[in-house]
Amino acid sequence: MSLRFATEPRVSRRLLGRQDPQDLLSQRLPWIMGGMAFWALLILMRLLWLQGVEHNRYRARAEQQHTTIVPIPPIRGELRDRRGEPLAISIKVESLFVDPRVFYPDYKPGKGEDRQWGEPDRKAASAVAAKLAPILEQTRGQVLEKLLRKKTFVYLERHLPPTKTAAVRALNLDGVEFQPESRRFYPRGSLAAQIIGFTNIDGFGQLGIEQTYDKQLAGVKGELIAPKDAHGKLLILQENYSQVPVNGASLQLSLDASIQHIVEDALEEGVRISRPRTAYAVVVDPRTGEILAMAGTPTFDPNHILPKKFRNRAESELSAAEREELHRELERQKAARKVHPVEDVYEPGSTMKIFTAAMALEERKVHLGERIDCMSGRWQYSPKIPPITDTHRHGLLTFEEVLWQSSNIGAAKIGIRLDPAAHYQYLRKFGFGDATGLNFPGESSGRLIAPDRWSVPTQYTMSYGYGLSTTPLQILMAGCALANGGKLMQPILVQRIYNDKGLLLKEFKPTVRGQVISEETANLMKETLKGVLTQGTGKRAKLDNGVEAFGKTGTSRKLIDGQYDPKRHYASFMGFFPADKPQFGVLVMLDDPAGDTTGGDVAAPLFKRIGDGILRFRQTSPDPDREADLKLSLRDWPVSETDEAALHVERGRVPDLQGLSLKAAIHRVVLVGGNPKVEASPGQTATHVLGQSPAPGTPLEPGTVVKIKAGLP
Amino acid sequence: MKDRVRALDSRLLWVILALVVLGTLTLYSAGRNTPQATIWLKQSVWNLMGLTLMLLLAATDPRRIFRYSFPAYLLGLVALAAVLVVGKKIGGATRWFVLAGQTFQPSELMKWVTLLYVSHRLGSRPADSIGRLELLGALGLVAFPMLLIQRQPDLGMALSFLPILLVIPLMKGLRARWVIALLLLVTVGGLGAWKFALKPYQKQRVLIFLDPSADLQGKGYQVNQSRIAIGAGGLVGRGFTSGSQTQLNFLPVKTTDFAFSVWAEERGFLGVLLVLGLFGLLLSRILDAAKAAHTNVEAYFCAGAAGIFALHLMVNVGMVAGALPNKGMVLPFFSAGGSSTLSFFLALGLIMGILYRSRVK
Repeated sequence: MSLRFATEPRVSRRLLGRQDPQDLLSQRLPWIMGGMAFWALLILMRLLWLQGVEHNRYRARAEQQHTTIVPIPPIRGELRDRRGEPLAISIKVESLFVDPRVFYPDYKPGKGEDRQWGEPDRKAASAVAAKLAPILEQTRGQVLEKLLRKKTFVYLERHLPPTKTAAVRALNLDGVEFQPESRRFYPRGSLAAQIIGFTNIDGFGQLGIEQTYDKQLAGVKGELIAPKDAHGKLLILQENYSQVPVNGASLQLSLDASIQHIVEDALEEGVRISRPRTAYAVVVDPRTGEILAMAGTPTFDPNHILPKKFRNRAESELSAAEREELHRELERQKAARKVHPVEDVYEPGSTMKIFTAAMALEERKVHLGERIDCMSGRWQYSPKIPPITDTHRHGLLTFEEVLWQSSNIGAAKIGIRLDPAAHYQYLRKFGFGDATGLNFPGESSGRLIAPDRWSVPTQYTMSYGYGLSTTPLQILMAGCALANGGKLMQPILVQRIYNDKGLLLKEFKPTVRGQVISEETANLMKETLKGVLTQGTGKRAKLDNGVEAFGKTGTSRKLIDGQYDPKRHYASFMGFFPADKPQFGVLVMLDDPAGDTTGGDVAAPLFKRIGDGILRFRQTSPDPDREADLKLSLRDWPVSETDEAALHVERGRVPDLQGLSLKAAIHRVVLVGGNPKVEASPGQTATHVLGQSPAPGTPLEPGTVVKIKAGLP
Repeated sequence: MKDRVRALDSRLLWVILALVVLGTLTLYSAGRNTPQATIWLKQSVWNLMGLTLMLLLAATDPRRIFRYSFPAYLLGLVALAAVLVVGKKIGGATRWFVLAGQTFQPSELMKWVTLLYVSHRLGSRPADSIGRLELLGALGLVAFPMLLIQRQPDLGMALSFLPILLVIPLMKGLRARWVIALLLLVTVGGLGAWKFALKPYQKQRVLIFLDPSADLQGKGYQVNQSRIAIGAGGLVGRGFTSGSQTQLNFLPVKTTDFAFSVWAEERGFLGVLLVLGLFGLLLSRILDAAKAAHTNVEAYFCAGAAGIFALHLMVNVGMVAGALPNKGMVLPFFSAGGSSTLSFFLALGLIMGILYRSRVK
């Protein structure tokens, strides 16, 4: 194109050159310009007002709009037994949630009524639902309903197996996010379940130690300050904590998993043979008061609180039959969760006689070998009161024989020699009527009435164990006072508390609650009670290999509707071994065993079974008294070992677990989507993997059980 | 080519280039993390095309262009009528032709064509010889396309035709009573429009402007979010691509109507001063052209053009700052859009041509 017009403007005929060089425009131009400038000044002032004067206010509103606080759950502390065997561990898992705002394009934030959702983008939501449904094994409709719920946070699935999280991550969906959570795992299943307790899906302790120490175990929730966009999508750019998460503390329990296993095994056997309502047992170290084992039947597996078919379902979704089943299951579990040794209160019966005897000996009201007339089995000591009877008729018995043969009349005659006030004081000193100090949820303190409210027969009946009530643990602790030279110990279940770095936070040392009787009296009682096993009612409790023990049978009638039922009993045996310096105090109790049986018949054999088991375990174990120092094993554990595991596992195949610690092994199995099941033989300490099934490398379907055989390395 | 480049007015050119660069940076930042991530590239293509057109036009004798103003005006009216029939409906408004996958908005160009023709009509004769019929005719020339545009509907665009009427009071020799009569007419027309012509959504916009907090989450939401973004920017701004309200998508329509909020949030009041200063230079240069023009036609055109640019600037900035109702008026060089960009550059090309002619003479 030619540039003619630009360089040589062509002159038009009408508009020749410039018409009027001075002012083509009127004088009004400055007015208009002034108006514009005024207007511009106003806007500039407005901007200066917003950005200068009001800046801080708007900055704060912006912050408030785009920052959110993300909770970072801490990892719950572990529960270990005294040897360091894991009883409850937490592994990191993830839950999947959605922020449905992403599917509401017209969403406008605001408080209450101001919040507007508008119409959902159904097409986008359906597409996401179609992708998620097969992975989550839910129907498309179920997923879609959750995606479109008018909330800012909806769980799609809790505690996803890592294979599923990987599959969901690969989809890279907007608004679908993961929340780290910790999942509780109980490697030994039902072992000591009632003592340990369990946690619900939100990680709150529900029973036992998990409940009592919930605060320490839970740790402190962290809070991360993170920006979110207008649709609520999180953008975590850096770890900007307003509260750093603190992982929960770990507890070392006094329980010995091996002994616990032996005890639970014995109880199972006892239930099979005698079919009691419940059977339970406690093993205590009389020297320290540490509870080594505590168990009761029936029990439960804290890993599977609800059968799978009831999980993730509302009650309204169930059929009538299923609802019935669920209710039965819940009832059964309620029974299974009862910790009988500390919650049950009963009249101790014959077991009480040893304390009556000990008090009388201490007060010099009776001496060894003294003959006592047992009235041929019937003593009408007061005309208007029912007589005291013995099941076997005895004439004259020595003091020792009264205990061996468990004569009610003999015990009553010894008991009433005591001044009632002194009698009461001794009972208090033995710990009756008071909580043991164990600090366990639901613990009872029993019932002991003061002498001013005693009626005529009270002192008689209390002497052989009626008219007062105790918990099994109370009576065992009192028994331990006879075994350890007269000291009443406070029972201990938690020995030490460590923080997540292995630092010792608190130690519970053995505590003497009081010297009840002299050491001399205690030793006399020990000698006397050996006879119960050799020539008295407890012959069936005699241990193998000539290990000496002492103890006392107990058979008390159950009070049913205000009447003692002659056919229904509490049958118990309390014993201690080795006799010269007892390390184990064992109480076995069967509540209402079938048939007209006694503690000597049904409970004593279980004592023998437990005692023999413990002794065998001590012989085969290289270092039976070793206590684990958790300091090292706890440090770094949740992080390094489990994270390393994540690098080494191949998904879809059974991982090689050989030689790993139990915790690492469990974590690897969970990582590949398996369901770990730990197996250990009774009396074995299970801290490391000895074997596995299926073999490493076997293809693995999600949810397959992987058995881990555990033991000492 | 060399001569053609010489036709460019360097003072105007530098200002334009600076604004184009700042506008492109703003669009880059606004598009991040959204489906419109490449909008700055698209806009750069429009800007390049616009600059080329400007270059061509600057080297063309303005009189040749004014000669075609009447057919262009007629063509524009036809296009405005046609778009109502065959245009594409987006968001309830029929404003666009679709050509080869690109949308084109005829009203953008029509604004300048109308100015061109009105300037031509009024400037061809000495002002003192212009009668009332001529003046009313000029009013009609402006009002007719406005009514067609209001049918689309597009109030913001229709209003941006009003600065064309600025030409009338600037006509030398025109008596003051005509100016007053014009002001009265516009006032009465505005009130009449409120009463009869405005659609409920338009009335709502004005009402929200009067009390934005009343309907915070509805229509006032956009203005309110814009105010938060601007206020949060402060004196020095949050930094390039670091404005939280922009980057986290709290700021609505940030590539078009609210592009200036992006700039204000990330560059602060200092950045705002820079941009407004550049626009001030642009306007003063255009007014220079009006004064330096050789003919009344050219002078009127430049004055009207300054009015149109000023209106876009004031209304858009006033709107994003919450000082004016939300009109949907774009900010030249900042708001993305092909039709408006090309139109602005065409007008600037013509102004450069006028400047060049005044220089070479």
